[in-house]
Amino acid sequence: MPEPEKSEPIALLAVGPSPHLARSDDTQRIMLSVVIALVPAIAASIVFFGFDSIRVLALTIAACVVFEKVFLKLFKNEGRIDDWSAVVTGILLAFNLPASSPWWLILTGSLVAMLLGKHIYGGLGHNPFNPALIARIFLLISWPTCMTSFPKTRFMADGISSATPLGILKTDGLAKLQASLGGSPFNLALGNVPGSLGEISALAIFIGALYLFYKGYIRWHIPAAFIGTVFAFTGIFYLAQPETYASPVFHVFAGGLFLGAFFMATDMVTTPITSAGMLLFGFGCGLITSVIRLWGGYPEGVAFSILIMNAFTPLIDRYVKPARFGKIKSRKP
Amino acid sequence: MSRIRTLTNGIVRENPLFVIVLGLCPSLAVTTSAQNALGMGLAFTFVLLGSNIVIASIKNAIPNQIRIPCFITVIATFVTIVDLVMKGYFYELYKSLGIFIPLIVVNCIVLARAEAFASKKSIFDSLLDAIGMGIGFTLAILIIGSIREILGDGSIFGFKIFKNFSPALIFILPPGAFITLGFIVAFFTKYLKKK
Amino acid sequence: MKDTVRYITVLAVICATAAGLLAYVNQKTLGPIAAVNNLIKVNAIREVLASAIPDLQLAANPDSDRVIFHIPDSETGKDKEISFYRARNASGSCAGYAVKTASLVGYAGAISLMVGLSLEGKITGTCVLEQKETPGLGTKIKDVLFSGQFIGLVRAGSDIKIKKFGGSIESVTGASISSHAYTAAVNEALKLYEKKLKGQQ
Repeated sequence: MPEPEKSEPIALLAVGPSPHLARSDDTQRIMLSVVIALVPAIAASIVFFGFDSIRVLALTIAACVVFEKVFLKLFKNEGRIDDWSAVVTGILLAFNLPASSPWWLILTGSLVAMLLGKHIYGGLGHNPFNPALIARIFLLISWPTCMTSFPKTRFMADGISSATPLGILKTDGLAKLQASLGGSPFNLALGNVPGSLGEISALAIFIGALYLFYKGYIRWHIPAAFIGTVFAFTGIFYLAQPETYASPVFHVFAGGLFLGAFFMATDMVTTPITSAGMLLFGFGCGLITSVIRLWGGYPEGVAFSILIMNAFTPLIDRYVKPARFGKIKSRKP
Repeated sequence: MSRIRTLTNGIVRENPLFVIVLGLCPSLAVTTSAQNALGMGLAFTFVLLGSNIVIASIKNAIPNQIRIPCFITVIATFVTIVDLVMKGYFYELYKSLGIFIPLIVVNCIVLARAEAFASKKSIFDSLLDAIGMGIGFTLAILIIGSIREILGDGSIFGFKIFKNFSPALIFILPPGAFITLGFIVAFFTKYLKKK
Repeated sequence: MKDTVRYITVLAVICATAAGLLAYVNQKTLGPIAAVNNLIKVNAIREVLASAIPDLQLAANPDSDRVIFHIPDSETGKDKEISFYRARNASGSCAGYAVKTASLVGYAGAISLMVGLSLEGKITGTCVLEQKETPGLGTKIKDVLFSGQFIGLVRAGSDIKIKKFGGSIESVTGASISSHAYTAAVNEALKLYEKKLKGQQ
C-alpha cells in the first residue's frame, strides 16, 4: 500500500529502500476510487430498498468516520481521517447489513469494525482481517435474528418468503428455492431478492468493479479464482446429483459472492501481493465458501471464507514469492 | 512486610491470569456467567491451598528427579476430592462446571505454584501464596465472567439488570472469552504492570 | 540403585496415602451422590407428570418399576436406551409414563430428557436431565418458555417439528440445533410408546 506522500527536505544524496518509482496514487485517491466503484451498488440498494437503504448507509458511514477520528486520537495514530478509508469501511459494512437494521446494531457494528477490526492492530495497513467483515461476523453471531431477517425489496409481490435464497436452500431445500425464485434467473442477477443492502445485485457490483479494473486498483486473479472455484466446486455436485444440489449458476449469483469477491477479497491490506498468491487466496476462499454453503450450519460462507483466508495471507506471502531480480536457479553440479 | 507481599503478590502484581497468563483453558471456558466463575474460582482456591500446604510440608522428602509426578499426584487427589464433594453436595454447581473440575489437575497455575513456590518455601509462606493466588485467580475469572454475562446475557449472577436490551450473544460464546480477556490483559499491561 | 529404590518408595507412599484418602472420601460421598442422582430422577418424573396425575405414587427407587427399550438412534444409528418409568396413581394402577429419552446429536453432544405421557399418549410435560449445550444459548431449552410448548401435544401420524421445519415449536433464539435435537428426542419417546406400550396396561 503506497504511503501518503510526505514533503521532506531534499537531501543531496537520497538513500532509501525500493520502490523508487513514484506514482501519483496515494491512499486517498485509491479509496476515493473504491467509493466511486461502489456507487452502482449503492444506487441498486436504494432502488430496491428505498429510504431504509439511505438511512443505513448514512448512519454507518457517519459512525465509522466518527469512530475512526476517536480512535486515531486515542491510539495516537498518525493515520489521516481524510484518507477515505473509514468511508469505504462504512459503505462495505452497510452493504453487509439488512435494510431493516436498528440504529444500535449499526453503531455496534461500526464500533467493532473500527476498534476490533482495525485500530486494535495499529490502524490502516496493519489490520490482518477485513474490518467490515469482522463487524459482520460479530453481529451475525451476536444477534442472529436481526442479521438474518431481511425486508422484501420494493418490487416483490406480497406473500413471498423474505428469507434469502441461500437461506431457503439451506432450511427448506431445493424444491422450495425453485418455487420462490419463480424460475427467473434475472431476479437473482439484478438483485430483486431479499438480502443485505449491497450483496443483492451482482450486476451493479460487477459494473462498479469494472471501474476498479480499469484504474488498475484490483487485479483479476482473486475474483476469478474465487468465483471460478465456487462455480466448479458446486458444479461438480450439481452434475452428480442435480436433484439435491443447486446449480452452479445459482451459487455464483446468490448471496454475497460478488460483493465478497470483488470488494472484500481484493482489499489491498489483507490479501496476498503476488499473482500466484492471489490465485491461491481466491481458490481457498472459493473452496471454503462452497463447503460452508453445501454442508455448513450457516447458509452463506463468503464472509467466513475471506476472514479465514485473511489469516493465511502472511503465510501465502511468505512462501509464494517472486524470484529476485538477477537470481539464477541453482543447478546441482 | 515480605509476608504481606507474599499474600498480595497474586492479586494484582503477579495476577495468575492477567499478568502471568496461565491456566487459560478453564478461565475462558467456564466464565460464561459470574456464578460459574465464582464456583470455579473457589474450587481452584481449595485445590491450590491443599496442594501448596501438602507440597510445602513434604518437600524435603521428595527427590528432585521425581518431583513432578509427586506434585501431580497430590494435586489430582485434591481435585478428585473437590469433584466428589461437589457431586454429592453441590450438584447444581457441579453440573454447570462439569468437565472443568477434573481439568484443574492440569491447570498450569497449580503446578506452577507448586514448582516455583511451595517446593522452595515454608508451609506458612505457601499458605499465604495459595490464598493470594487463589484470590487473584477468583477475582480475575469473576471479572471476566461478570463482563461476559452482562454483555452476553444482560444479567449478573442470573438476575436480569437491563430491560429492552438485546444482549450480544457473542460474549457468552468462545470468541467473547478471547475478546474480553484480550482487552483486560491489554489494560493490565498498560496501566498496572509498570509499577 | 539406591536412588531408584528411594524414588519408588517415596512415590509409592504418596500414592498410597492419596489412594487411602480418596477411598475414604469416595465412601463418604457415595451415599449423597446416589441420593442426589435418585432425587434428580424422581423430581424430573414428578415435574413432567404432576399436573396430569395429582395422586402420583412412585417407588423409592423408580428404577425398580420401569420398562427399558434399546433402539438404534434415528440420526446416528447408535444404540440408545429409552426407559419408561411407570407412574402409578393412589390405587396402584398405571396412570401414565415418564420416559427418559435422548437425542445423541445436540449442538454439543447428547441431550437427555424426561417426557411425561398420559395413557392416551398425550405429552404432560418435558424437562431436561442432562445437556452440554452452549451456556446461555442452547441451555435455554431448559426454560419453560421452550419446554412448556410440548404440553398437550400428541403424535398425530407425524413428528412434532420446530417452526423452521414447518412445525409449531418455536425454537430457542440462535439455537435451532438444540431445539431440533430436543424435539427429536420427544418424538422418539412418542413413537416408541405408540409402537410398544399403548393400549396394553
